[in-house]
Parts: sequence; C-alpha cells; structure tokens
Amino acid sequence: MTPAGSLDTEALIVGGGPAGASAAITLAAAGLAVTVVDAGRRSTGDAVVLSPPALGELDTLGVTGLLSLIPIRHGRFLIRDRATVAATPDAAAGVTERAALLDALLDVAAGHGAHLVNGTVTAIRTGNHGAVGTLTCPGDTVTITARTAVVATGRAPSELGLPHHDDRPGGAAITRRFHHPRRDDHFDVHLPITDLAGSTLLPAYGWVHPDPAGGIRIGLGIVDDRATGLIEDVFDGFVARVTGGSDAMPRGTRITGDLRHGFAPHRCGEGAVLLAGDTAGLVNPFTGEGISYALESGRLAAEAITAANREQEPAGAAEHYTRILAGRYVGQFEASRHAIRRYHLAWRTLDATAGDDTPFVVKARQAMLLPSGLRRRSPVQRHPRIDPIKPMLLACDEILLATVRDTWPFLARLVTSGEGVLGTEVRPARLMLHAARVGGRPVDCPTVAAAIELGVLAAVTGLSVRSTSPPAPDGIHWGNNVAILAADFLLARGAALVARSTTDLSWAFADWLEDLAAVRGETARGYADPHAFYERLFEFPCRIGGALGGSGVRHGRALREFGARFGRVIGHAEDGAALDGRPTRLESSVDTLIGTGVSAIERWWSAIRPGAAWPGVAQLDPGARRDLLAHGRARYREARQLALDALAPLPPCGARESLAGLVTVAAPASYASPGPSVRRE
Amino acid sequence: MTRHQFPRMRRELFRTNTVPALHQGDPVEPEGASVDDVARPVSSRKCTDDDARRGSSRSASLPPPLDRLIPPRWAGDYERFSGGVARTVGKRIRALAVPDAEHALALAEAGGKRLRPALAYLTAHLGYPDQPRLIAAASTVELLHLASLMHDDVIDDAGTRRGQAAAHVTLGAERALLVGTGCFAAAAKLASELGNRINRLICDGVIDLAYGEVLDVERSFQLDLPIEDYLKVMRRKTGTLFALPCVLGGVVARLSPVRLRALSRFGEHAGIAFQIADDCRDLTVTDGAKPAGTDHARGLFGYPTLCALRNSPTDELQHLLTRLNPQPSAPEELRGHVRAASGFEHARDAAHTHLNRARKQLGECPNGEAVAALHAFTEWIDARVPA
Repeated sequence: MTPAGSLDTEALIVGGGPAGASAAITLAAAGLAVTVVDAGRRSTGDAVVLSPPALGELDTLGVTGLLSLIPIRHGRFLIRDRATVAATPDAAAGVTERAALLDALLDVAAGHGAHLVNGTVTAIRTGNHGAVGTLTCPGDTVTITARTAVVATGRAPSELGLPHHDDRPGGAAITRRFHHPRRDDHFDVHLPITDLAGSTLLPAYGWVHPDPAGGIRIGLGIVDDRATGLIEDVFDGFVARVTGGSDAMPRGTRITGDLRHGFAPHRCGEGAVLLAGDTAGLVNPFTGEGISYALESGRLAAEAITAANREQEPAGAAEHYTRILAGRYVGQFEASRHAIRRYHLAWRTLDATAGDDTPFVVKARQAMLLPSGLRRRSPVQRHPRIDPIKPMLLACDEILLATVRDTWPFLARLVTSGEGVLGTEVRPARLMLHAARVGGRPVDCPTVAAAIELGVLAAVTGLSVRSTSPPAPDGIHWGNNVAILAADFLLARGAALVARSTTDLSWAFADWLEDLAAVRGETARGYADPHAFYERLFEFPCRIGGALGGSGVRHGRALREFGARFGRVIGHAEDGAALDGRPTRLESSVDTLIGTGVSAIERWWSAIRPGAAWPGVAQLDPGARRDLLAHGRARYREARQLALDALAPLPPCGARESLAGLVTVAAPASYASPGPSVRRE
Repeated sequence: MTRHQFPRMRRELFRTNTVPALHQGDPVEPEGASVDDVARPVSSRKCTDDDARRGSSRSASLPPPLDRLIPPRWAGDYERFSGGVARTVGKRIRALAVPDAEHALALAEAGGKRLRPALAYLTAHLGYPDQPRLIAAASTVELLHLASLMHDDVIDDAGTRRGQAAAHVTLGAERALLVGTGCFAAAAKLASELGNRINRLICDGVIDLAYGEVLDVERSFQLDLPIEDYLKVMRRKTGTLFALPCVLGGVVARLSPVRLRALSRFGEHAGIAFQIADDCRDLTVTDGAKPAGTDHARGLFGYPTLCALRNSPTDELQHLLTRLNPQPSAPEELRGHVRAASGFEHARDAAHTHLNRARKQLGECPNGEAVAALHAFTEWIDARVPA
C-alpha cells in the first residue's frame, strides 16, 4: 500500500557486507521486516582470514556450515621476524574467499526473510518518522523510509550525506595472490614495516596466509594517510622480504582499498541511522582485523534496534548502540591526528620490546594485537556464589574507564578487560570490597577501589622497567619509557581519585606507593623476600577495606595479616603456574619472574638442592623439575593454610566466606590438591 | 560517602610496617623558621614596577636569578623561607623507606635555580601567608619537581643533571625510577597534610604533568607537528610546574578565586615562554647543563625547529633531523638551518606573546613589590631567549 516510487520497511540495511548482513540476519531472525540494499559485487578473487572471534560470530549467525574454510592452525605475530604472540591462542581460524563469505551471509539473511534489493542508497538522513533514504536501482530512483537504518557500506558516512566528521580514510591496504611453493597452515602478521631505505619505521603491518585459490596471499596495510603514497613500493619490498625474492610469481591482480580506523562511538548512532563495520571505522589499526568487528557491530546494532523496539521507543536505538560500542571497543580504535601519534609510539614500543616478556609489555601487546584482546582463558575457575559486591565492582570499572578513556584509551583497554589487572577473581578491588563488608558499616566506595586498581596496575607496569634491556636501534629505550610514563600516569590518576573522593585516605595511598617503591628498591638491590611485592600489593586493599568498613583494631589487624598472606598465596600460585607451563596472571615466564625479582623459585631450588646453583629453567632435568614442582605445591598449600588461618579472628560472616573463597581460587584445584608427584614422595 | 559517615581515621591504622617512625605524618610541621622570624615583610609601595624591571635593586645575598626577583628588603625573610623548604625537602626525602633516596637528596642539594618555590613565595606575598604552610606547599612542588627530573632523566637517558651524574647512570633505570616514585610519594604525603583544597590542586597538577610527559613522548620525531599541538603539550609539561606554585602561594595567602585564576594563567604562560627559551638554548647555548642538540637527537624538536620546518623551502632540515638521530654531532649545522628559516625569530615572537599574556594576568593583582617581582621574573625569562 505504499505509493509508487517509495518503499517502506521497519529496518533498512545499507550494504550487504559482513556488518550489514550480520545486522540483517539478527533483525530478521527477531521478526522485523528487513530490507537489505546491496549493489552486488564483482568477484575480485580476494580472500579473508577469519579469526576465532569472527568464526564465533559466524557460528552464532548460522553461516559457518555454508563456508569452505582452509584451516589456519598457527597464527603468529612476527615482530622483526621473531614470533612473539600467538595470534590464535586458543581456537581455530580459517581462510575463505571473500565472495563466498558474502554470498553465504546474504543467503542466510534471505532465508530468515530479509528482503534483498539490488541497488544503491545514494543519500540517507533522519526524517520525522525515522530514516529516509534515496534508493537508486537500475533505471529507477525511489524514496525508501524505515524506522531505523544501519549503514554498513564500508565507505565514508559522508558519501551518503551523513554529518561530515573527519572521515578521511585513515590508511590504505593492498593484497595480491602469489604462486609460492610454501603450502602450510600459517597466518603470519609482520610488524613493523620499514620504508624502502630500511631506516624509518612505518605505521604499517604485513600479512601472509594460504589462499583458497592456491598459493599464498600477501597483504600490507598502512594506517597513516600521510604515508599511503608509498604503499605500492613498500608492498613490493615486503613481498620480496617474505618470499626471499625470486620464487614468488604474482597471480591475480592487486586489490587495494581504504582502511577506515577512525572509530568514535558517539558518531556511530545519530537519529535513526546507525553505522557499523568499516563505515564506523572499526578496523584494528595494528593488524587490519576488521571482519570480526564488522560482524559483531552489525549484531550489536541489530540488538540495539530490537531492544529499542521492545521498549516501544525506536528512537532510543542510537543511544543504546553508542553506549554498547563505547563499552565494548574502548581504547581499541581512535580517531584524530593525535591517534596517529599514539600509533607511532605504539609501533616503536612493539618493535623495541620484541623479545621482552615482562608483564606490562606482554599485556600491552595482547591488548593491541589480539582481536579478542585480554578477554581470553581465565586461569581460575569461577567462584559460583552470588556476588554481593558486584554492583560496586561494576561501578569501580566504570570509574576506571572514565578516568583513562579520554587521555590514554589504550590503558583503558588494559584496566577494563573485564578481568581487572590480575584476573577477575583476585582483583585487589574485590579484596577491598569484601574486606569492607567485615565491619558491617554500609560502604559505598567504588572510587577507592578504582584507585587501588590503578595503583596495582602501575606497580605491575613498573615491573617492566629494566636497567639492562637493550635499547632500540635508534638508541631509545621505548619499552622502559612507555612503562615509566604509564606507571606515572596511572599513579597520578589514582592519587587524584582518592583526593577527590576520600581525602582521608590520601596519606595512606601515598604511603602505599612509597612502600611498594621501597620493596621494589630492596629487590633491585637483592635484599627483599621475593614475594614481599605481592604481600604489599594485597595487604593495602584489605587494610583500607577494613578501615572503610569500620572494622575495629583486632579485625583490622586480622584483615591486614590476611591481605599480606593472600599476597604470598598469589606469589606461590604464580611461580607454580610458570614452572608448570600454565598461563600466569603476570603473563610471564619463569626466567622473567626471576629476573623481575618476584619469584621464589630460586629459593625453592636451594631448599631441595642445597648448595647447588640455580641452573636456569631450560637446564632443569625432568626429575629436578618434578621435585621443584612438588616443593612449590607444598609451599603453596602452606601459604594457603596460613591465609585461611588469618581469617580466624573475624566473625563468621558472608565477607569472611568470600575472602576464604578467593584464597581457594588463587590456583586451579588440580594444583592445590596433592598431585601425583607429591604422592610419590 | 559523606564526611559524617566517615569519621577521620587515625593514621596509625594505615601505617605500613616498613616505614621508619621518623615522622608521624602530623599535619604540617613548622619545619622552616619559627613563627617569630616569619613576620611578613612590611608591605611597602616604595619599590615601583619600573625599579624592578630595570633591575636597579638587587638582593646581593641571593643566587641569580633570585637576586633580581626578590626585593632586597625581603632577602632575609626569603632566605629563611628557602632554608625551610630545603630542610623540609631534605627531611621528607631522608624519611623515605625507598633505598637509594640519598641520590634524590644529592640532587635536591645540588641547587638548581629554585624558581618554583620562589614563585610560590612571591604569589603568597600578594596576601598574608602563613609561613609554615607556605613552606610546606612550596616543598611539595620542589619534591614533585625532583620526581619529574629523575624520571625525565631516565626517559631522556640524560647523562648529567645539575652538574652531577644523573641518578640512573649509577643506579640503573629501575632503581632511579623507584627513587623518583619515592619523591612523588613524599610529595603526595606532604600534600595530603595540607588539607583537601591544596591536596586536590596538587593531584590535578600531577595528572597534567604526567599526561604532558606522555604527550611529549608520543610526539617525538614528528616533523610536521602543528604548533598548536606543541603548545598544548608544553602547557601541561612545563606550564603545570610553574602554574602550580603560583596557585599554591595564592591559596596559602587566601587570595580571591579571580586572582588565583589569573595566577594560574600567569604561571602557564610564563612556563610556555620558559620552555620556548629552553628550546632555543638547546640549539645555541652549551652551558654544561646538557650538550647542545640533546633534545633534538631524542626527536623532541623544539619551537624554533618546528617553525623552521614549516618555513624551510628545502628538505635539508628534515633530512638533517632524521639523520641526526644516530649521530648527534651536528648542532651547528642544525642551528644554521633553523636560523636561515627564521625559526629563532618566530620563537622569540612566541615567547614575547606568552610573556605579555602572563603580564596581563598580573593586572588582576594589587600593584606592589610582589607584582613587581613577578614582572621581573618575566623579564628574566625574556632575557633567556638567545638573541
């Protein structure tokens, strides 16, 4: 019943790429009338790598079964040709033809009842009753109206007449297929790329993976629009570098495109028009990963629309969507010329710290490079009880986010990875909030909790400052410098949070900083007990929690003692995990933990082999390793018992239970129970 | 949490075990002069602005440039103040549990120009300051300055500071970093003893300072850094440590919000001008403090260089700056290029602009010896810009 020359729909999707199709499928499956406008495409022969998060999204959409994937079993980041981070740490990835992926997505959308229109939307705006677009089909131009529209053309929003922001492409990418004898299942991302003279670092990355059509596909992206003029030459240089020069025969054509990485959440939903995928600038500037973000943002847009419809307020979709995006992608993407400077610094640091596995460096690298960021395996099982401090923990995270989001977004990604700095269960904030419940006085102190988290992150960051690390080729210790700057910045923020919210604690907070610096200083001089660092780290949250909650002197003392002993439990758990080859909270190897002075492994060694020098973890024979692990387990169990004993003076209450629960999840149950090697003793 | 829900807690409860019981964190110890000898210099209007600007009056006993800034009649009082600051800083550093703190002490005692405490002293004397509080507030700024110097030296890999080997040369990066962090903790403790208002002002200043440092490293090696971005960085990095003592002095003397705002802006603009002068001196003056061209070798191109890069008709300067990096031996050549592209002229103009803005802010304050001295301070910065 629409007048001729116009079309009306509930949801209009502009662009049938991954983001648009993902939105269309989700909306159609929820029962909305969906129209997808897509211009169709020429088959360029391009191929795409689907990362584990992308495959996860495709699985949710029901698309994976329709795809033929070349499996990728090894994903690596090669920094200066050294593998440093596994790109696919815990799940499979695959390569598929781009055209096949897009066809499959649109097929599924149509299967759910989405209406596909072959054409182009040339303009779109927010009208009185929703979105109003101009649709150009072959031989016809009609007006199309919808309650909400999702724009996912992959191009600049200004091309559709949307409010013009600074939306130049942030960079460019180029790929080409090559005939190459190498046939393996590796996906390599190379960082960094230098200019042709080999002297200047470019904000660029290259990648190599098998191609579905045979041979390999090599690609290169540059994320600084001032450098994109070089891309052809730099690409040739990169091809020569990865193929060794002679044996690569080009197949197919060069495919070039813009990289749009100028994401800013508040620009992605205005009026009745939402932006998703590349149009929203959702491309990881360090790796070019865009598909998983496209699929996810399309789904998130669709969910925002259905939620708004459910609440009978379709106009609320934009606000809903931007809020979700802000939380989900904080610190990962940024716009503005300032961002480019940040990327340059990040590149230099990645380059200079290629061989470094100190905690801050590793965490930073993962946050920057992995599509899933730090959201990954949790080394501990979840604590099953209902959590009375959850609202305050959420408030604490919100404060953390607000504190660093605008000034150093990348740190926001670190502090709010959903796990805190050291893993969800043993976050210092959690310890503090539970300790605060002991005294019985109602306490609302998420700001102090956030300040403590910042202090802990600063302390962990400080562990990455080395006196011995070799400087980068340009003579500058980028790794050290960034760690120092980050630590100072976090401390300043933490101190200011305390000063603004609970001034009485300012002195204590400063005293804690001094104490941590003192412990580290003693360690650097070789005097301190290696676990004293953890002791100081966790004693403070318990002490402050006790004081805020109104615990008396006796309970306050018990909480402090518990905090210190809890720190030792964490120390033993870390050492044991590193020795066992399991992931540690500090993301560090045995050698790094020892080098940083926070490991008791050398002491364990002198206990089981008196007089023998520590041979280094690589030289341990299996028998010695077993003995060492058994010794470590015994120490861990002792420490755990001591920590639980420290809780004895406290009255039986939910908070005491929760604190005891934190002790039991410090290490996996398998580690805590007497293992087979212990029983053999 | 409201304040009545949260009674003031006894500090004893918060003490860690490791801190030696050297000081108890009592609110503001009068570590400087006793109340008797800190009577405010008799306010007099005899010394006019013009006298101070001409430098006709000098406090002979004070080291330069303070001899030109502090009115002669205040010299004795100033020396008591400055002695109090030195004693407080020394006492706080000695009380630190952090090992190697003696390096911070050596740095504190090695001198330096001590401009920042002087600024606090002068702005405080726009009103009627409480001398012990003024000494404590000025000491926090001095401690923060020490902390930032120690961290800066690690980041810049500077070999010497105030004529001595920089701490990290002997201690290594990590231990020097920790001593710096210790100084920061000492400053934060002292600040927390001065009440909410001063504590917050100092914390906010530290945020600006730390963020300025981040921005400064982020922009390193950027040849086409827009001047306005450069100024934003410097407002935080250098401006903060000038604005903070100006405001703190004013707060101690209970000046009106309008005057405090004016003093903050005065400090910021003076700080930017000071930085521009320093940038010029990095290329021209070798006074033993640091070898010429050091900043440029670290990719920290200063104001004259950035201007020259914009004006330069050829690419030679660009090539020189990128080549300078591995072999920092070409400051003369660099200076020539910057001069040819009239980089120094632009820098001088910019310094004048900011100094004039700083002076304009002083119009909010009552004319007198303190204002004359602050004018003299801007003249001194002006004279630092190499001709």
